[in-house]
Amino acid sequence: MTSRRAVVVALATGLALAAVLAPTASDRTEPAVSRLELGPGLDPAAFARATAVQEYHLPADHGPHLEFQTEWWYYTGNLTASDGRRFGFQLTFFRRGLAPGEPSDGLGLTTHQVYFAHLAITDVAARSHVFAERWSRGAGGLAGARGTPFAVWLEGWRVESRRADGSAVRLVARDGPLLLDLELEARKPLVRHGEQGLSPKSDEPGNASHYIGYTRLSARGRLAASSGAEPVSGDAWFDHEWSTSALGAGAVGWDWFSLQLQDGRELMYFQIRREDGGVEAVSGGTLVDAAGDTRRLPADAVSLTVLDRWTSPQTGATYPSRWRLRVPGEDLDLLVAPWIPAQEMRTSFVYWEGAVRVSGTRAGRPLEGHGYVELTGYARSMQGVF
Amino acid sequence: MSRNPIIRLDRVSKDYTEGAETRRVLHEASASFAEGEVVAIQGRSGSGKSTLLNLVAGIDSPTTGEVWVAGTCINRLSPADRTLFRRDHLGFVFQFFNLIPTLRVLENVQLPAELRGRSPGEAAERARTLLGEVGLAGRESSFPDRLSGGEQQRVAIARALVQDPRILLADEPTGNLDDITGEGVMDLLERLTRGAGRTLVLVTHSLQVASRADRVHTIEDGRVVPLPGPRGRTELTQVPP
Amino acid sequence: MTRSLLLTGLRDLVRRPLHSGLMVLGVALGVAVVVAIDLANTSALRGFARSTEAITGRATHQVVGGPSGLAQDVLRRIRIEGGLRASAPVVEGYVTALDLDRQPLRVLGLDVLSEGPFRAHLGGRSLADPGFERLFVDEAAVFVGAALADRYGLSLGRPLRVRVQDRVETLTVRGIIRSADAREAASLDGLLFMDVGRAQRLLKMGDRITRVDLVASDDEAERIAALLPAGVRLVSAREQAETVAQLTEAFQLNLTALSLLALVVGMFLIYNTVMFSVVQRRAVLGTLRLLGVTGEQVFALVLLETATASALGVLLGVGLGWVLGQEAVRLVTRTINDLYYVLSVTGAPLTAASVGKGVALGLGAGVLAAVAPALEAARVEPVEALRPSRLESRARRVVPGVALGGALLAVAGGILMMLAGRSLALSFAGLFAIVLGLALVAPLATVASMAVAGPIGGRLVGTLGRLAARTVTRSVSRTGVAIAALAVAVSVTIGVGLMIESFRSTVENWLDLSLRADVFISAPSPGGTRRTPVVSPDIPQRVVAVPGVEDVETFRRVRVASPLGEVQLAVADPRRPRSAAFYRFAEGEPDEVWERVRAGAVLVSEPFAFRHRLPEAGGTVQLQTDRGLRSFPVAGVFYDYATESGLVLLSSNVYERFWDDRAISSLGVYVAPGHAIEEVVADLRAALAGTALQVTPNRALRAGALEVFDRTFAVTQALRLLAVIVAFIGVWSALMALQVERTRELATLEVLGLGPRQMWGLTLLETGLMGTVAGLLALPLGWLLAVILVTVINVRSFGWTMRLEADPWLFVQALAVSVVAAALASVYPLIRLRRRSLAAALRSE
Repeated sequence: MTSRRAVVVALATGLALAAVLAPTASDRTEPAVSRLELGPGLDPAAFARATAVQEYHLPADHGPHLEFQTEWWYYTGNLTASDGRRFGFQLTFFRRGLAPGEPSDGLGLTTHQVYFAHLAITDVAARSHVFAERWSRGAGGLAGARGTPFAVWLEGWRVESRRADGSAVRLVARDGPLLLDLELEARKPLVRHGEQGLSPKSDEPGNASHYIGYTRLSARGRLAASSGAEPVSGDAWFDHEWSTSALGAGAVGWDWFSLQLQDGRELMYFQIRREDGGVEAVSGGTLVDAAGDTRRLPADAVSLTVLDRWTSPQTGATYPSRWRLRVPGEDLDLLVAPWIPAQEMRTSFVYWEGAVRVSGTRAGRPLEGHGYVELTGYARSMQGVF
Repeated sequence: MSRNPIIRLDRVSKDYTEGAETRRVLHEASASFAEGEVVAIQGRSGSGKSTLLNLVAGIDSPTTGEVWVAGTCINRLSPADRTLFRRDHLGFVFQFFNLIPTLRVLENVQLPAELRGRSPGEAAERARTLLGEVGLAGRESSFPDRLSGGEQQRVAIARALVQDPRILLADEPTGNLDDITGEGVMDLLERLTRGAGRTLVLVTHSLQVASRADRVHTIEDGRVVPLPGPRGRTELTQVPP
Repeated sequence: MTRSLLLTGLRDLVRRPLHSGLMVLGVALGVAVVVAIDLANTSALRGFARSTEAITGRATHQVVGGPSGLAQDVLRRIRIEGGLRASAPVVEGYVTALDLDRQPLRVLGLDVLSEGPFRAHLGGRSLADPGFERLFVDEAAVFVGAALADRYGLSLGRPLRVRVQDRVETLTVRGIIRSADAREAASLDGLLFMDVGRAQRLLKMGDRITRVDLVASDDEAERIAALLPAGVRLVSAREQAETVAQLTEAFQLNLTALSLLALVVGMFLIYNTVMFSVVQRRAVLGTLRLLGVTGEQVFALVLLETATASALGVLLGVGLGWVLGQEAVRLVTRTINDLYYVLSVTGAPLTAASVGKGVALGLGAGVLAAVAPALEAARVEPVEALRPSRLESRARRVVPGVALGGALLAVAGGILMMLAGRSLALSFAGLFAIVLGLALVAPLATVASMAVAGPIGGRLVGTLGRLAARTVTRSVSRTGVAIAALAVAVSVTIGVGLMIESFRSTVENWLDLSLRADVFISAPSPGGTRRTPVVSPDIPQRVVAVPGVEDVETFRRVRVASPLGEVQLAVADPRRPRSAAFYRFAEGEPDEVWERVRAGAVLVSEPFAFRHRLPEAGGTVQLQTDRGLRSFPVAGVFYDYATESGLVLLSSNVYERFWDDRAISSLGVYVAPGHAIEEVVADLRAALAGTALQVTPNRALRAGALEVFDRTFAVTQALRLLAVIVAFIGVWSALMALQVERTRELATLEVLGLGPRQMWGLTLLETGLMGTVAGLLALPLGWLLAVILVTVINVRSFGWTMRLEADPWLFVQALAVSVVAAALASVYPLIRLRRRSLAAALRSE
């Protein structure tokens, strides 16, 4: 071995040794997943459950019910612009309680309530559906709800009362190009769904929610889907539900229909689907006549047939996409079809919520209408979420 | 032996071990040298003559046997005591002069006296005297590297004599000098030893140098034997009438 | 270079293990110290960077307020009025974990719902994950990083007792973050994550938060800045971190400089050993030249031999340095914790950079030190094989030139220091040049002093005395270098020792002046001077009620922002003016100055004035108050040694005018005459039982402060000692070499009658002379070093004025060390000599 080679070998050995002595991986970044170890959760038994019929006092009961775990204020509507173009909108504020009530002193940012909200606008002519989601804690003025006067807010999105009893409100929400600024006025008195507001969701007592709302409100204001805001007007629907783990065991989701018919009546119908493919017996709905009187519809009074399906290219979930809904007792035979099929909400939990057109007959005479349909549990089971 | 032996080797053996091999240089050698004698030990390099000298000087110890110098068995002394003995009784002259290069000529000569305990002043005095005797008066403050080989050896002789030893040992005193200078050094040595009643044991490879001694020995088979043939003045003077 | 030639060199190394061992040792020690200090510095820097990352996350900007934080409503403004959604509230504070070795931990209160854009490891969790809600709902829930949890065996549900401000609280571990990314995992160490609201409660912040993190473009940031109320500002996240990093710069630079010194002394050692081997092998080298080996090849051979030994030394040194580094990390971290900010550094992994530094410096130093001997070897003439000549005469001729060169170097170093201005690196370079330059004068000094010592020795001891002196002079190329090394090491001991002594006594005097109350009450700080905890507002009344208490003074220490960066503010009770000895440049009498302070002026500490180049008179300081940016005139500069970053002193009435913060940091209690301080202390402790407040009498506080001081210099003292050890080894090796060279001479002397005691005496005389020269050289050099350290280096590092105190005992000690070190160094060579056969010695070359 020549001396030069000896030197090279020595250097190489030295470097190798140095490398062995220097075990550092500190500056290598690998794509890594963090795990968060958590202990057991809190017992939901601390929350109140919807078990009994009660009276609702407005506007207080428009506000939040902090002793219950889950709550939402749900606004949807079908609007038209001055040139007849159709739009659909959804603005829902959700409240999730981590523990009942609020922490003892009101100071600081401590809270037991987490709020999140969904905004979606469907532009039928452009065949577009844009949605946005926001989260915030219920403290520091960032998010919250109040009964007297009625208001719900999450950062800049808000519902403000226009009337003391909360039957007229203003909705404001903005996100990127999306804008919603509507004045809503209830056309009929408050509707109490289910058994005077107590809407069971499964056979077991306690698996129920308090469910009230306005089934028809006039809407007027401005809306923007992608470009500038334009004046719109139309009909809106308001639901307010609160509960604690409403779904029974084995339930995976629900299909929910809110239809506003030309003859001045509204129909609300939901069915809760089970794992085994069946439907909960407590499924049912409400029919509201032109004067505002309500009639409860049990599940066997309504027949619902799925006519078409649509698969989401983004999530792969397959949703029913056209229905035939018949209420024989009312002589109603309706065809419900989404204005556009792709109205999937890919938010923290995935569901389908879309504006639909209604066409059909009542006692043989043609009847038109519009509304909103909500389909949950198709991408993932809703157990534990609500 | 007409005079008392001042140096006596009694069946002395000396082995050298190098690794696994052992070499016997001296084998039951015996010899005795009388006081006032000039004895030469002549031989080739490696014959053991320097070994013999070292044993007499106490620089080395025999493997077996006894070495008697001036009535003391020196191989029984500890190295420290041997040094002291040497200091008091022996003078040594080396082949390579072995002067201390950082000491001046005078300092070189007076050092052994100081080592024995004399005050520096006294030692310097004595050294000056001796330097005069060896013919180097006036060179006291020079450093050794300024002197020629012969001059250096003369300083060494002066140094060896500063303690007034009874015995002078010389290891190849002319080995590093040319013939003429060597002759001069030998003249000096003879004058200062035989002429002063001191014993001189010198080791040399030169027959010419050896012939100036009273008796000449050599080492054969590890023994000290007289050199064959008439050598040495004593023998030479013992010419039969 | 041929194989056989290389082999001669390498076999020579193997055949002389002691000599090669010394070379290896020299490099190893130098490298070990450099690596250890580098490790400590790097780990500290990393720990700091990580903790900053963890705290700051990916925020680009931060909205901050004054000492009392900002109102949480600012967040609403930013998010709703400003429309900036990437905004997150943060609450920060410190606690001491009583069950975890009293480790200081940083509480980071976050809103997980906002944290998506900021922190990967917390965002993206679903509230559907059971157990997560506990972070919001539980009174005292915390999440911790896996490293911390594993180290202390913290499991879910485990209670964690901490001291917060002046009380003890119990927190509960409700989540453990296991990060797969090592870097991220390390950044979580030392942190306790809480819900922002719960953190507000824990730190008693009411409805205020520490800051709002933002991810914003510069335009957005500008828009947001316009929305902010008075007293609240927008800053770039990077700026904040940089300010804190600068604090420890000077400290760490000082440490690095000292470590390099150890390496330099190691180089002396190598020079000595290589030179000796060259001298010893002169005949062999001459023979090689005779056979046709060129001078360049001989040069390369010597360097290669040294490089091989150095390489071994580097390996050993890196390993040793890693071991030492662990301890050094601990010491440095502790000092930083004590003096600057809370730092969590766990373990010092050996980085490629530290190893690389060690290798480069070790090999470089070794080869550099061997250049001169290698040149000497290359100059060996073939004739030397036949007749060995004297190397030393050549060396002797060079000595005056070297001394001149050294003197010039020292002068150059002095000029460099004068011109360096504030640059610390240049100042150190100048200092090194001075020390090295004066060290180069050592050989000349040796020759000169031996010329004097010789005759004196001769008169006292005779020829042996003269021999001893001349022996030292003869081998001046080795003895001179050894003396230089020893002189430098001892002078460093003197210089650094004097500096520390002076510093300490200055601090002691200053403590006398500044700590005037009899008893101090405070909540113990988890660490560092960055955050001062808060005393509940009801405490002063409780204290006043204790019998024997004549008066109570309240103090406040906060950090406020200013255009100059973050400034530490001390809020003092205006009723008690200070003595004149407290000020450096006061305009007027102390009473006048204090009047001005009461009226709205401020006092600044020396380091502050130095760092920000305030003019001697008439300067102003701008500070961010809760009412916006304000300008305060400076009424004087005072001495302060507690913080090197500088302090601004303000009267409390002025503070209350411009800031809303009314909290108290600590209290000073004055005991009425006629009451025993110990009794009052006991009564106070009883009155304050149940809180976590500490009651400390003046004397104990002073002792505590000095303890911190001593701890801070522990590393420095260790390095000092190391330098002496390395120098000692250098002297020892030089002596070994010398004795071996003089074998024949010493044998001759023994033949001439030099007895064992006389041999000892001669050797001890020689080494004693060497040690004395080294010691005498070290005295003025050490003094000069101390002067430079005190008047230049410290001033340029920290801005402090210190009184240089000369402790004569220190000088005596140093001289003794020098002589004793040299004498001790002769023991082993002598013992070895005794064992050698005299006959063989006589014959050796």
